[in-house]
Amino acid sequence: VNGEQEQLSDWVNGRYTRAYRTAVLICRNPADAEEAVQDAFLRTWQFRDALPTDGRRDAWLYRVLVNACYSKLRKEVPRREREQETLDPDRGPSATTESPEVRAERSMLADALRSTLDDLPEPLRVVVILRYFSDLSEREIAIAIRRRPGTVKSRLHEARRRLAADTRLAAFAPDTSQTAEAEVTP
Amino acid sequence: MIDEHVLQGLLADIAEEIAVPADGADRVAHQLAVSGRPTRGATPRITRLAMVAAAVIVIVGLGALIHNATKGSSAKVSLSPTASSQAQPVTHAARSLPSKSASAAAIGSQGLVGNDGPQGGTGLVGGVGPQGPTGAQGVAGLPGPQGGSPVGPTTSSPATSASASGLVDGAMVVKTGSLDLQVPKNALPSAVIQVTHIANGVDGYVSQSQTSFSGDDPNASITMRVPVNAFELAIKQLETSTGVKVLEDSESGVDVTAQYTNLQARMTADIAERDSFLTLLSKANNIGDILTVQDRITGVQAEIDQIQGQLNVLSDQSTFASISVLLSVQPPPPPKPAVTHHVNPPSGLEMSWTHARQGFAHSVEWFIARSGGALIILLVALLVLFAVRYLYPVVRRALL
Repeated sequence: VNGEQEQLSDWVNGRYTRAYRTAVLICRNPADAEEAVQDAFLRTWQFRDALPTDGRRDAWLYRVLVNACYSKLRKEVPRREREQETLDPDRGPSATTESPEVRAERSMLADALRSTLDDLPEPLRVVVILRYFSDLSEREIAIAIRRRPGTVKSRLHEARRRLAADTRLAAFAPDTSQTAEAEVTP
Repeated sequence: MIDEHVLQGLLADIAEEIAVPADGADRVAHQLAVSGRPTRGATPRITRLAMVAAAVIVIVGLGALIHNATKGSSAKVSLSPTASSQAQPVTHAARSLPSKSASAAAIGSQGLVGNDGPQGGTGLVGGVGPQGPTGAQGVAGLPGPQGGSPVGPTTSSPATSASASGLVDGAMVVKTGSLDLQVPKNALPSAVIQVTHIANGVDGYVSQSQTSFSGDDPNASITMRVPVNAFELAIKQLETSTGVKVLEDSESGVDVTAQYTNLQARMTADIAERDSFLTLLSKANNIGDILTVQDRITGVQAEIDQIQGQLNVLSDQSTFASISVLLSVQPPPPPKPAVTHHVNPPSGLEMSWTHARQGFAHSVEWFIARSGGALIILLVALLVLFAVRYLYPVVRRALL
């Protein structure tokens, strides 16, 4: 029993932070996110015997989590109300060794990304969060959102294209012409 | 397109700003420990149940199959004597009927008050056993009014009478059929022989035959009489004869039970009336009375003979069905138009492929036919196992 308890504790602690932040990014509401995470862990643990044991159990955790977030989003909570409760940019700045100018620039970019992400359609926003924050592979995202990997790929492509359309983020789009020239030059 | 690493870094920055509840993980772990009951072993248990269910289905199915097979074989075993016992009377009836008809005809001609008269003639009023479903309580031959010995034949037994009258489940049915068959050219004589063989094979006979083997339109018209119980068999044999093409086939059946019963009742009444007259005749003293009574007896007896004739006809018709077969020759095929192209015969590879396909189809048919219901039961059991083994986890995952 103790071994199982320990295993359970390790499993939750190792995933909670990332899962919670993913839920907040999707739900844009800490309270909803906390409930969604709790629900996701509970159900995944209860149904763990029915899940594949090939190392993709985390994908199933995120699948339940995304479903829980979707159900929270579907609730009749005014968007404005959620936005008021959402992320506080001034809260919990990470310790960094970057210069103030760089930090300011990154903060501006993060704001720009946040607002652009908010404007993205939900399916695109979710795949971006799962891919670039939760660090799931395309195959794992496919499991999480119940779509084929090809669909995930196309959604990611479309999301990055739309993000690059933002003038503030466009500077971080790699110059394809230069890349092409570099590839041609021996 | 925005760089993936930049996107990753910016998202990490955004996420870093999200404050994580300090005791969130512990709360979740605690809740899981309390309420998150492990479900390990649920799937194997259900799998075991499903396997037991599948095994039960297979055992029950096989048991039912074996039971049916045993029942079928016992039915076959018990059927054989029944069939033979059923066939026997028919055969007997078929064979004995012509003689019975003859004797009946003889009865009709003999058993009449007649030639020698009541003063001790040789035979007066031969009792005729009506053949019918009621068992034919035949009127025994009555002695002559002046002590003459009864000459008329006695009654036939009810069983013989019933079998001879061609009863089908207590009903007398007159069946007739008409077949228009086409045979290949030059095969008409052999077809006629074949029809005769079919008639003889079912204990029937050819009652009428008219053939014309020469000329532009060779044909043959044959009327065969077959036992009514073998009517369908004869029709089937005729239709499935080698080289025969059925152009037209019509069959009909008429239930004459009521008519037969009415005739029997009338005859019984007439016989009783005649017997009364005979009694009177025996007591008559003067010529005038004798002649008057004799005249009445003659009238009644004539009616009895007429009814008996009708009964005989009905009995014969309901015992032997009549099948009219018209055989004709296929007209010569129309001249073929000049063929301008050659059809290539199938190559060896093509024929091999065709044979392989046919062989495969025959093998599959053989396998399905031999396996009977066992294959279906096995497939159902496999489906149940497959559903439990593979679909159940999928459904559970889908419910997550």
